Parts: sequence; C-alpha cells; structure tokens
Amino acid sequence: MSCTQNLGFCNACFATWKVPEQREQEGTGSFGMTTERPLESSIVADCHQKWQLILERYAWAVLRDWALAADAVQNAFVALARFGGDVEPDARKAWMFRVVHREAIRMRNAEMRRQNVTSQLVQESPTSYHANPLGEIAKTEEIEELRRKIATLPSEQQKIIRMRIVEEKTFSEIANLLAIPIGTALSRMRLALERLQANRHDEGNSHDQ
Amino acid sequence: MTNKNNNDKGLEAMLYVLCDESIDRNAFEAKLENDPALAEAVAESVSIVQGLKQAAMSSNASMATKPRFEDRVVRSRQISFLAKGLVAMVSIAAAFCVIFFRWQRDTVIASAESLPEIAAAWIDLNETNTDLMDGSILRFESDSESDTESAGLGAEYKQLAVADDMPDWMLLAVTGTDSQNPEAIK
Repeated sequence: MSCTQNLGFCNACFATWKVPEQREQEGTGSFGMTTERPLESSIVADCHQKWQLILERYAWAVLRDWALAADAVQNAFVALARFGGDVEPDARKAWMFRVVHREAIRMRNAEMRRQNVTSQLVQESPTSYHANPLGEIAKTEEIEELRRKIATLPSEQQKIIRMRIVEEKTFSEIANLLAIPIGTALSRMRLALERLQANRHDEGNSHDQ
Repeated sequence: MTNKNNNDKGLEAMLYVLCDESIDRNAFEAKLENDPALAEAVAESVSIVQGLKQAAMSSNASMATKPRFEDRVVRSRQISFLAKGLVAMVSIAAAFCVIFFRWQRDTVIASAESLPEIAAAWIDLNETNTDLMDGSILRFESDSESDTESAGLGAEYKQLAVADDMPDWMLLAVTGTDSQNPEAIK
C-alpha cells in the first residue's frame, strides 16, 4: 500500500501510532506499527544528515530538554528506517516532523507523569537557555551569519529583537520602555523575523540544490 | 496572502519558543501536529533564539576577557620597564664591545713592540746572504787587483740592499712612523 494522501502518508499510518502503554498491551513493537516497511539505509542516512539538526530544534521547542529532544529524533529516525518505506519522498520531511512531534509529546507526558508535576513546569524559566549545550547546536559559523544578518536590519527592529530575545523582556515591557504601542512592537518583531527567515530560506534552497 | 500567513506563522512560532504569555501552548501544539510548515517555523525560531543567545554570551565572554583599564596600565608599565631594561642591556653590551675592541688593539700594538727584534733578525739574515754573495764575488774577482776596493763597495751595497729589501710593514712596525729611512732602523 502506498501512502498518497496530501502529506504523502495515509491516516492509517498514524492511526497505528500508539502510546507506549498501548504498545506494551498489544505487543505491537516499539512504534505501534504492525507491519514493517523498511526504508533503504542510505536514504535514512541522507535524511538524518539533512534533517537531524532542525528536528532536534523542533523537539527541543516541545520538550525544553536537549537530551530528550535527541532521543525523540532518534526514535523518529528508527521509525523512518522501519516503517518509512511507503512514504513518498517529497513527504518524508513532513512525516518526520509529525513523528517527532508525537514522540516529543509522548516523552513529555511520560516525564511529567514521572515527576508528578503539572504542565506548567514545561515552561521552563528563561535562564534555562543558558544551561543548554548551545555549542553543539548553534554552530559558530551560523551564529556569525545570524549576527551579520541582524546587523543589516533597521535599528528599531534590531532593538526589539535584542530586548525580547536576549534581554528577555515581555512585549508590554518593551512597549513601555520604547513608548510605542504593543502592536508596533509585535509588528517590528514580525518584520525582523520575516527578513531573517527569508534569508534562511534562500540559503536553505541554495544549499539543497 | 500566503506570505502574510507565513509571517504570522513565524511570529507565532517565535512566541511559542519564547514561551510568550500571549500564546496558548496547548492550542498551538495541536496546530503543530497537522502543520509541518509551522513546525519548521518553530525549528527556525529555535535556531534564531539559540544563535542570538550564544552570540550574546560569546560577546559577554569576550568583554570579560578584555583587560580592564587598570590591568592595561600595569601591563603598559611592565612593557616600558622591559623596554628600558632592554635598552640598558644593549648599551652595556655595546660598551663591552668597545672596551673589548680597544683592548684587542692595545694587544696588537703591544705585540708589535717585539717587531724590532724580528727586524734585527731579518737584517742579520740579509747580512748573511750578502756575505755569501760577497764571497762568491770575491772568489770571482780573486785575480783582480782591487780587492780592498771591492770589499768597501760590498759593505756599502750591503747596507743599501738591506734598506731596499726591507718590507714596508716591517719598517712601519719598527719605527712606528711612516718613515722609510733605513737609518731609523739602525
């Protein structure tokens, strides 16, 4: 059976994706998928090389823990190797994001149950950014590139970016400090991100080619 | 329209990553599951946030490693002290060099004082040669009648020959002047 739905995989593929408790009860293996459809290891390796970093960043956004994020991504690649044979090549990236998302949510829930805490604790304090192993994630060249791009932004956008992301001020604080409406602060932030992400997309496309 | 949607997604994703109070995390995560583009925007936002954080940390670290003003003053004093010490050492070395060369020259001059003895030996050697030469002349002119005249002329030639054969360096060494007068040697 080939997955030819809009995202390249049929709902049945994800309908069989079950939480660990269900997997254990049903004895359906580690990913809850009953039939293995292996993908060539060279393709898996290629996908790993291309997407591992971005998927880990995504998983970190959900989990706020680099070790757990790496585990979630690793699990997703295992799933790709075992069950990704029928996924359309163009849809593999979206499929991987979805698998990572589910794995991250599952791991977060398990971690929360283990710690017996509320979901409020998922929102870690801003200082936890400093405790992350940034050196492994953000490469030096990437940082230099980002710094260069930010330098090309208009000064008012640079100021918003710095105050919100580096100084960790809320938008209402920024609006008060700069004596501007909060909507203007948000708008400047959006324009700055638009420029930064546009540059990144351009580079990503040229890199893929 | 699509571009505006993408921009809104970018901002939403950034707010999610920054744990902004304006975003409903549960609702957003529900959207994330079915929107890979939004998930990718979240990943990009994470990279921007982490990059900016690390850039700020590295610039702070570089500021911390920069020497303070007091340190720089102390360091510049140390450098000037070292430079002065170096200049003093070079001056002392130069003075030693001058003293050494003067001493060496004096030694040469002192050793030159023994040159008159060498000059005397040279003269003796030349006299011996001249005597031998005179002997042959005498033998050659033995049957001549003017033996005494020849002997007087031989002595005169001998003195002239000594004066002519004396090398300049020896004259200079012996006399200590530029004079080449053979009488001074005598």
